[in-house]
Amino acid sequence: MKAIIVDDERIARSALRECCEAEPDLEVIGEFARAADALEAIHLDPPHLIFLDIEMATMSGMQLARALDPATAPLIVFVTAHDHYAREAFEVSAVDYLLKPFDERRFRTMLARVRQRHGANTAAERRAAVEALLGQLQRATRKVAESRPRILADGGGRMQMIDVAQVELLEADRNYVRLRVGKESFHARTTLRHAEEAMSSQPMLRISRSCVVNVNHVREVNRTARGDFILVLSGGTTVSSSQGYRDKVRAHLERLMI
Amino acid sequence: MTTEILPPLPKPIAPRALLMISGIFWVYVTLSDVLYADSMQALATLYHADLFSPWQIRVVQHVLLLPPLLACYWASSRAGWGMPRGLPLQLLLAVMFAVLCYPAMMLAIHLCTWYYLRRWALPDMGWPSASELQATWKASFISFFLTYGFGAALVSGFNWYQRHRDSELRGAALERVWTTARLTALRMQLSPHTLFNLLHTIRGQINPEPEIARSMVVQLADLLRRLLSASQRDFSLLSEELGFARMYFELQQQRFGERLTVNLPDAGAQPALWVPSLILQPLVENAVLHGLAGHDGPVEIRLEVCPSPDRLTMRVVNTTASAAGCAGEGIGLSNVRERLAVQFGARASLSAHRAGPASWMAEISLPVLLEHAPAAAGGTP
Repeated sequence: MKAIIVDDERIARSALRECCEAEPDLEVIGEFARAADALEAIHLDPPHLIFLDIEMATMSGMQLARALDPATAPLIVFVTAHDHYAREAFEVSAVDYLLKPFDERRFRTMLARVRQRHGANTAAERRAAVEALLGQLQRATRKVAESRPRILADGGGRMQMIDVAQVELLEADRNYVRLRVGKESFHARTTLRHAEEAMSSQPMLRISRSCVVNVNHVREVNRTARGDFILVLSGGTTVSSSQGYRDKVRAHLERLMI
Repeated sequence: MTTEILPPLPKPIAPRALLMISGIFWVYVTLSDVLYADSMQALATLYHADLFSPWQIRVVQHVLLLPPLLACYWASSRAGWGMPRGLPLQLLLAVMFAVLCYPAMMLAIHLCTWYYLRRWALPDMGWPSASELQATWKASFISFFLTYGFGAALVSGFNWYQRHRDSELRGAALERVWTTARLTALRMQLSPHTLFNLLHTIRGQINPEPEIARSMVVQLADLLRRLLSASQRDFSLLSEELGFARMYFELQQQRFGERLTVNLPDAGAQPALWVPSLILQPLVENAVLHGLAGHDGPVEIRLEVCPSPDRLTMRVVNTTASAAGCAGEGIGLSNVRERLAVQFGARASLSAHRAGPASWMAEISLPVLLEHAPAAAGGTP
């Protein structure tokens, strides 16, 4: 397999080359510090495999990957220090993902998957490769779900952890915040502001001084004669916007409809 | 930053609320005055005397009095009741208003006769005598002074209630800000200690065993990545927490080799329970530190997790040098104790004590925290 290395750090490139040289079937045909140079070289002499850093000064690895024709593109392995690119990487059909720093063991595990994909000539082999990829994607998705913050709240007489993605509505209620999840409601000993902060991964919309809605859970929007909005949430709860927030709610909803 | 999170300081009553309360109060006063005067008038006709003006005049009088009333209450809500200025000012306002009431009545009589007779004249009863004038003025003054007092009490009461409620909200917000700040500080205290110890170990490995040093760097990176993501959240899954402990022990085993034996429950076999992020870390760190101190023999560390239907108990047991004394509680343990107190109050506890001649045990007990399972499927986008 012919491979190229794209990374703007010299030491990072040489560490990768060192790992590649230990493998008899890998031949490094080029090293590039700039993504633009690499793109040119890929067109001139297409390699089988690219080791690609994501965060580079001028053109990012992700941009380079998008610039390649998916039909003829070489296999891409992203090499990065950040683990939050995993899902994006699969969108540009990267074959694998190597977290910095890595050791020989991880490099070989990654290479085994690359070889499996590269050598997939029969239908069965290709299916196995795709299934392995799907498995990786599922793990990445689960990781996102698991790393979503949870809010500790009282409900039904005991403390429970509430996934922020399931919270439909936050309401200030004296010293508590009431969370609405489906048909149930919970109390968290916190302020509306803090709860809103914990919900930052969700699209939240404030509809009155004491009420914030998770837009993902809005099922229906109606308007009153006075122009206030009535939102029906997935659990069936109905909330209405206050006069002071009417314009903000309208602006937000209009943006969503476009 | 702090001021941004807190709600604004309590403000005096809003003009709209003031208008509404005073308005309703004044309608009530007008109605009761008119009804009272009417019934008294019915009584007075028995003696063929016109003591009380007809209801139209009373209504006009009260309408005329509304603007000065609002002005007085507005000034009163701004002046407050604080000494030394408050009380005299309030009294002055009340007297000013009450003094105005009789002239308002005279004006109302003039307005009404003008309206009904189309000329500017007094009704037939003629001018009252000086003594009559004095008596009616006094009666009107006392009656309206008391009425004004009731209204002022109402406005002040509402004002006080609003301030009280605002300050309560502010108090709750302050408490929360303080709690968050403290939690962040506590979590940050945990990592540097661990980090520098491990960096020192790796430094020592670079020359004699470069292979091991390289793999330790990778392990440390994994540990840091987990530490980082765990410290950004208040809660983590028990399996993650155990995975974290395993990574930590693996690194320490590289350091101490044969001396350290670790017994861990299988992270994958744990129920999906939630625990405060990094709550085990100080216990695990202490077990390694104190287990190895004071002797050069082998050390065994055992981590146990016992979930029951409503409580979760996590135990870290380590062997110690038999002669090791009972040192005071370190910063790690008091951190854990404090975090449990902040998040669970009396519902969670930490105990650390000698569990035998040569073993030490730290135990955390807290309510079982399950993820809320939504009743209907399809709620999650």
